[in-house]
Amino acid sequence: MKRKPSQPNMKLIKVKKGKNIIKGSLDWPLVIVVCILLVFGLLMLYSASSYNAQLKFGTPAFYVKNQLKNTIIGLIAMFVVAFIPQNVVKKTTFIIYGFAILAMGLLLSPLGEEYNGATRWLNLKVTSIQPSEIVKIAVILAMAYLIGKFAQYLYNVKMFYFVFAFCGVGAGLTVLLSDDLGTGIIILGIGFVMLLVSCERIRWLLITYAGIAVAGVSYMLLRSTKRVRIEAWLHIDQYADDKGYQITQALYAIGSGGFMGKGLGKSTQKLGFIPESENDMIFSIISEELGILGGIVLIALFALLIWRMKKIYDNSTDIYSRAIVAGVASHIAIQTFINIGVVSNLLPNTGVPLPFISFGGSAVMFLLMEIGLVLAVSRMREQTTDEKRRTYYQQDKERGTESII
Amino acid sequence: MTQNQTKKEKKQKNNRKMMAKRFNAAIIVFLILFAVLIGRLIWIVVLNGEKYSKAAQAQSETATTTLSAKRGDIIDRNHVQLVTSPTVYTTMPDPKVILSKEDKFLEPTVALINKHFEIPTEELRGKIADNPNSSYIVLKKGLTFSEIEEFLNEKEADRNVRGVWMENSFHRNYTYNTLASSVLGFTQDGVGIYGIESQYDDELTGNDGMEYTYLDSENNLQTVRKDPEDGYTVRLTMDYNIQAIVEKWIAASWQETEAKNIGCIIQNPNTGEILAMADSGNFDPNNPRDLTYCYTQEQIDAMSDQEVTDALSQIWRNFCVTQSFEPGSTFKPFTVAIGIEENRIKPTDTFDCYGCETFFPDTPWEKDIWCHNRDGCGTLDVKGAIANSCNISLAQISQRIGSEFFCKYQQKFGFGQYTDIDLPNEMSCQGLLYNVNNMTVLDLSTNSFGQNFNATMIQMSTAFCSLINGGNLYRPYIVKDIFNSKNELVRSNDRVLVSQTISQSTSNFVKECLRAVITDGTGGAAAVEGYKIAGKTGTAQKYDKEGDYYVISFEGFAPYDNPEVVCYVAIDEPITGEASRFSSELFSNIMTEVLSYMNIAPDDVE
Repeated sequence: MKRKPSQPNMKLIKVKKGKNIIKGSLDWPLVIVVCILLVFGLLMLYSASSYNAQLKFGTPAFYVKNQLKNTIIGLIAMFVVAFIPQNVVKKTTFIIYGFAILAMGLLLSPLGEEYNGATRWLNLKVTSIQPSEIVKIAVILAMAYLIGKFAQYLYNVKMFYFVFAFCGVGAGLTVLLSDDLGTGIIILGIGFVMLLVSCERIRWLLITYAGIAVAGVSYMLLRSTKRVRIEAWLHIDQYADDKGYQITQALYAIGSGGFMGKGLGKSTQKLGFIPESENDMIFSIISEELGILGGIVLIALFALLIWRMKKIYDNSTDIYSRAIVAGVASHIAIQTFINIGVVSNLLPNTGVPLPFISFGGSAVMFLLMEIGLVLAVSRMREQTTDEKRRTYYQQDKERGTESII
Repeated sequence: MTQNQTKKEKKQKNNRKMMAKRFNAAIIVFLILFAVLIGRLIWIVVLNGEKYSKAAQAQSETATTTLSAKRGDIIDRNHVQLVTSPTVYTTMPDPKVILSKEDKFLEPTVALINKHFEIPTEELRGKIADNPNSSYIVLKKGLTFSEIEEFLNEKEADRNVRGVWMENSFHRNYTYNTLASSVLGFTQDGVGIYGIESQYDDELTGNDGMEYTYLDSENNLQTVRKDPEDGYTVRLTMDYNIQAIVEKWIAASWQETEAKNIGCIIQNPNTGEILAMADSGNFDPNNPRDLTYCYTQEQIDAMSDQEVTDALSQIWRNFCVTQSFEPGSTFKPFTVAIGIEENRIKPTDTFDCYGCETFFPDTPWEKDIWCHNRDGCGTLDVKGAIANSCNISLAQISQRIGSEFFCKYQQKFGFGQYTDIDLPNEMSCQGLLYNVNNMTVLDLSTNSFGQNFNATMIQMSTAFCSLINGGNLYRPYIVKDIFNSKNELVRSNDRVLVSQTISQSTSNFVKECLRAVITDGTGGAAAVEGYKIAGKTGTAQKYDKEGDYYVISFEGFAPYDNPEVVCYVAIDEPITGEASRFSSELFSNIMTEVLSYMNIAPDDVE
């Protein structure tokens, strides 16, 4: 059975002998899913944040206006990144990584802004950014570059640790400098998936991560300030008034929303009970207003996004591109899982925002740039057999010869 | 070579297959994790949905704490506090805290509350035992700080007294009870009703704040607090002492004349500021529904509900601004001023009065107008016409002026228009005035001595100020400036010149006429020893009512050369009839005290 060629106008470009890379158009399904998530996010952000915005800034649309501005900048950045040639990105990889580390370092300087007891923002006068968001994209780029270059040598312990170091340093700095365990775990998770798909032998990978897990858990249990969080997670009912307050309130929201929800805008938990409901806890407000049905639809959208990335991954041509896609997909998947896991008390409390939905300018901007990287990959892919056949046929016709393949 | 290459290619192909497989596995793990999340959500709703719903509902009923803003004070021109909002406290024991160590905390706490707030220990114990999970029970409201001060000190000293909160709120307090009640108005549920409270409600009302406490993701206790913004302080042009003098004499006169109402306005003719404004329909804004200041208990008991409502709205209204009447003879100086200003009469002109003049003779609408002296006043010059308050002479003057100029000047003096004083419910009386098109000669004549059209007291007083200050009509105002809670000036009112009514020379002549009223005319009773008082008496018959009802009034000023105080008194329906003596005496009594209080040097020293 003949397959219909999916891309009608294709320009044939020769990259290397024997390999035909075609330049297709963007992967529009991915763009559409992202846009749906963004619109849904802005809508729910307005609903969840208007009360707090009114209280703190006197105007209910404060957060959503800010987010809309950053989303538009992010979308422009996404399309720009999608059309930057890969080799340009490769050349600037370590500049970006260096910049990310520098930005983390600046948190120690007076530019670092403390909020709720942790220094996570850089105040650049005009805007404030979260360096850990840059670290995530920098780690994906750096590791993809190294994996693309040294994939076949990764069986070597030294080489493995050399590549892993880029992820380890990023995660370590995030945890140490900005006291942001959640983002640290996400960066380690991204590194794990990227190395998993590219190392032939994964013995060292498993040993390393097992070690990190043991060290992490024992640290959590030994440090009393961190252990309380575990305790609150396990016995949420007993900590409802202090350490487990936020999560208890989120559970109240999910529970009272039921299957069908109270209706858009009708949340009562956002009225001061869930503090900063526009942020990490936004999923609980979505569940309260649209029911867990709304929550399931949202999770399904994320699943669709990842599934679409898998398609792009399968169609991509080289190890570098694949590593990029694996990194971005795992970033979104892990972050979504941790966020909703925390809100539903499946995981202990570590604050990470819900991708595309939670309030946060730098988060949404850098996330859209990552989507841009994936779109850039989607533009390059190997010809299918059918397409090859068609181009040869075309060439023969032009030459006036007819050959049967 | 080729073999090598195929081997490499084969290896790469295998490698790519491996990569695809591994990523597949990762994606499947992710999707499984997502499925776990969905399972978890369903778990929450199915197993605990009802419990969490109830908990959410229960807590949403106890909303975030509102921090109420303090309503602004009202002070007089010398910063005497007329209206304040002192803090009052509510005692609220917290059973949750008290019962956390029942054996240690309960007894001392209950004993101390009992000692200071006289609440039976049994009742208190019962309340605490009934609400073990509550964070507060309201025990006693409206306590002042002095009432709770000792309790707080003793609570501080005894470490076992725990869990008693004091919530503060504000109480509106009118320091001098009935003083200036018609001007101040009152508040109901924090909203100003009548008077300054209503007119400046936006400025006096602050913005409420809000507070809630929560634990953030790092488990730090966070408090979000929006501070309340207290209301602005409103400073009146009114002087507490002058107001008190005025109210004292109004009360005395009210006893004597048993009038329906008595109003008085004291104004500064050079700015339009109101120094005092009062009427006899007093009430206590602390308890605005109490009628006992105006009626005896028997009268109140006899009233129906509707009558009570009517009586209340009557006493709440500000007579000087919201009610009108025919001004009567106090309007005569205006007619003279118009004639002089427009050169229709000369001060030396004379007029003959035979006591009666007939309009439209031999027609069905024939009408006589009478002078109050029915035998006739004889031949009078202009000054004499004012001094003797001769209606016939004034009618003759008005016919020389003609209705066109008369109406024009009436408008110019502000009759039939809002004076724009910053008090609510002002009346303009526009519909109660004639205009050029519908004014007959008869109407013109009756208008000339202040009958047959209506004016409010504030209109009369404001126009009169312009008559004697050289013709500057200033907008009357009662709020001098407004301060915020940090005592910074927010806004201030200044004198506003509305129009130039007459010239300085006309004004001087009118003043001469008004002086003659006191020295050789009808207003002898209004004299104040030591001062060259000048003014005009007024007696207006109320034609809209059956029987002999009058409004008697007096409008005058002092000192003669540089007027600083204008005082206008009006007595509505006195049982003493048309004798203008009572209003003149009331004027005299008030001015005697006011002039000496204001330290105005006597100008009539021989």
